[in-house]
Amino acid sequence: MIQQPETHEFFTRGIPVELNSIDQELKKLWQISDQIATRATRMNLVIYSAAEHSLRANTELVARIARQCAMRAIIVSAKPQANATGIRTWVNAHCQMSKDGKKQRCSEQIAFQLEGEARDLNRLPSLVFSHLDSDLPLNWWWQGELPSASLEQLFAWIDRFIFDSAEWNDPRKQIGILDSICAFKPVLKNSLSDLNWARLLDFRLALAHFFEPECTRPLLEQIETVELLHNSERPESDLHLLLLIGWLADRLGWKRVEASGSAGSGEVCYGFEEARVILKRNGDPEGENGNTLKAVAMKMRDGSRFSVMRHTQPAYLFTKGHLENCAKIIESRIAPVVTMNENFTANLVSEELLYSAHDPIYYRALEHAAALLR
Amino acid sequence: MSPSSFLSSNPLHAGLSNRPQPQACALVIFGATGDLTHRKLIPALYNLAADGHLPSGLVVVGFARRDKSDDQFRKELEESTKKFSRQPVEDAIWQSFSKNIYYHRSEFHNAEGYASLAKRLDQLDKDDPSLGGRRLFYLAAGPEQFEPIIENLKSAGLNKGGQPSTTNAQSQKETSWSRIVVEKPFGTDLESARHLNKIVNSTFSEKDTYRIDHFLGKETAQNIMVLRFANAIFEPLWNNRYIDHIEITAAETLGVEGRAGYYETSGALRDMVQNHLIQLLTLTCMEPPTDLSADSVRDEKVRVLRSLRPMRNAEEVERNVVRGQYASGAINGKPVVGYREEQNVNPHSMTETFVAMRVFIDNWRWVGVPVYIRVGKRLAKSGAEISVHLKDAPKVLFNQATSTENDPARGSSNVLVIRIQPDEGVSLRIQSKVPGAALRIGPVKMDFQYGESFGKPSPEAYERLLLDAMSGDPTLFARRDEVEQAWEFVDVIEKAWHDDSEDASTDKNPQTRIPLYDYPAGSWGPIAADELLAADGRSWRRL
Repeated sequence: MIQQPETHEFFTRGIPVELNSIDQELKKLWQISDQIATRATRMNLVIYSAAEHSLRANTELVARIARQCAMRAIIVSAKPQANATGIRTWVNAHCQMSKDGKKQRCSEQIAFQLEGEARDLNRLPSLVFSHLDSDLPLNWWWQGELPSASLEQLFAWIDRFIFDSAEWNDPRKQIGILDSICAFKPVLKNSLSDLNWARLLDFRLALAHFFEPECTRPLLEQIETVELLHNSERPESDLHLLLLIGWLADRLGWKRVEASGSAGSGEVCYGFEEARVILKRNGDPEGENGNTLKAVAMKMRDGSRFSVMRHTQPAYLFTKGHLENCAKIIESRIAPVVTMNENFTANLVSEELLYSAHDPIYYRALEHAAALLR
Repeated sequence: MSPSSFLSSNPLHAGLSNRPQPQACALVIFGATGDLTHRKLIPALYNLAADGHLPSGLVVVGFARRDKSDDQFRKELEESTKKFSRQPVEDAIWQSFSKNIYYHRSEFHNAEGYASLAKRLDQLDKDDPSLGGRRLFYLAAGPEQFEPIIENLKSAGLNKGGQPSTTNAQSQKETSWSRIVVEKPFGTDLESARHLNKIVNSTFSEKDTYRIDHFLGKETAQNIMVLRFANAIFEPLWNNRYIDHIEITAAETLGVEGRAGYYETSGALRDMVQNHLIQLLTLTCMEPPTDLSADSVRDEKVRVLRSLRPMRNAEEVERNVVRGQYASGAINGKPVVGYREEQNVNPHSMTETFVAMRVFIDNWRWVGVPVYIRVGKRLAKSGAEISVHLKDAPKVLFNQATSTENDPARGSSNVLVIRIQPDEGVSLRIQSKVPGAALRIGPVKMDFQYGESFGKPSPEAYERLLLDAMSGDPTLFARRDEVEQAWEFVDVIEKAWHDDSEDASTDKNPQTRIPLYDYPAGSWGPIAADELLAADGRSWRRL
């Protein structure tokens, strides 16, 4: 067994500094007399939030993400209730011991708290850009609702835009804002990281895996019904569920029609020429970590079936396929790609930063999902 | 995406992976009770299963002579996987994975055993059509068993894919296949390698033959091509106009560690140089391939091998190769015995545990650039690396009179180092002004550490290689001509040593012409290895 490196965690905001002495103060962080520390960075990560107490929560998130992705992090907190106008600044370092135990690998963090007029979004670019690590990609995580203001100067420089559609109160409006952002910078369509979509990765992989062998590939065109078992309060506007449907529709070329047949109580139905999708509530409390999807069950026209079920304690996916043409049952258990523990959100973001693809698949799934919104 | 196109590619996989997808198959491991299976193969398969990369339905059949049941075999594998897996073993995942592991008892030379194996595999195909009649035979047994195993596979018809158990006409058109994975050593010299290749290729086609060199499965070895060909900065300098010499080192602090039975017949040249180090040499010195297909890459590697300047006789071997054997010494402050005092080692053994050599590649790119290769056991430090030493800048301006002139050990040339293991990464040494009023120049290192920059642990080499064998991607496996060319090169050296040793042992020539130098364990090898480079006005890079 390989030993995991020790981690030293600093969950305070850091050392308060003057706005115009950030670089100087960051350099001082590296003047550690009796230890050897390496400043490591592969990317810039900016996290913006207008929520209360976001500074401390995001500092903790950055500390955890930095374990996997060496970075310069900039946390921007727009304090909702503030009497004065001003910008308060802190610098910090998140360090962990290298595998040989000889030195620490550290990622830098700059935190800004914006109060009063300083919260003006148009001031963000000038605040953030001067403190980015040059030559490295800019990943921007916008927490909460997307900005309705036109921030072209900001988006012109963003390489990956991260958000969580599970946080949106009005998905239709938010999708409209996202569309206008992508209209301004079309290449960003391929570099969107919706954490709500990322949470579907295990299900997508399991479904893709099942249909990979030659004996199951033909079943793709035999899908008759897809049941999504969930515990969402409002499934018809739950993008976590609708994105999966949108993905299937986009990938398999399904054409939308009115749903045929009646839905049971508590069920929502979507009709396609090729298949029928039913959302069924299973009555359990709201999902952990934003995962409202509990299981996917597919029935093919030849009688074959396939299901993927999320198991939580311990965490794994249980897949079961029944192939009608040979009366064979195939079962497997797969560990989740993103470790589901108390650091799930940090793990999810790390996965996006390290491994997300540059392709339009998410955006196309979102377009289909938008059409399903009620 | 139209339904008719689903059969050629899986649309659900888009955006999830850009690599060929492994196909479920029956993986038969010959030598299933051995060390390799327990320490590397099964832990690799488990990690693949846990990460969701293993094709569902994969079946593992262990083929060995000891008597045990499926359950006993699974239990033993569970214990070793818990010890050697890179991630903790989760019970639920192990149960799901291990229920597809079976044990097949037979002697390697027993034809009946293979006939019953064939029946068993046919039944497994019937039970699970996702196997599609695909078989992957992994030769993890001793090399002396390769020939009987391969011949028996052929006799039992196992060199052909099984009959896929499906009524789907399209699926039947898809190839079932039968592949073979062969562990090193692939032969003991050119003649035996050619003989083994003949046996293998009379049973399996070359495209279905996968010769493992696990160094190629390491992320850092794969990164050599990316570093060279994904960056514009290096390639213009990667030639004899700018490069002074290249060093390739694989050093171990370990001794023979209970492998004397094998090592006495092998030695460092056959064990490490013929395969691992020559593979690193080809990756470092190859031309850019036309594309990333397996054959395009391997074609370029073979071109390097064909351009290696052969050593024509014993004199040239003596001039260009140093062999050594560790004597007693100390490793990390602890005393250790010499090689000849190790268990099961002949007290008069002439087996080399250290080799240093100077080779030349006679092509336009590399003519005049020596490549120094060094491998050894019980050296001062463990590590494998490639260092590319650039020529000195012109002796004008800053290089006319510098602080390094009085301290040659510090070095003034730029050196690009690719660290294969441990501490994987790349570093570049450059000259910089030392702060102060006086003009002083000193070296500084720009360092990229693979493991620290990419926090997620990389898959182990065997995980990548097993997946590639199942996917039908032979890029990271040695091709027939690669292996034979490498043997052709080292055979001259072995012959010179062997002929010399025979002379010595029969008292024809009691003074061996090609000495086997002692070196104390814990040192950097025999002094003669330092003299090899000193003769060229160079010295080994200190790891």
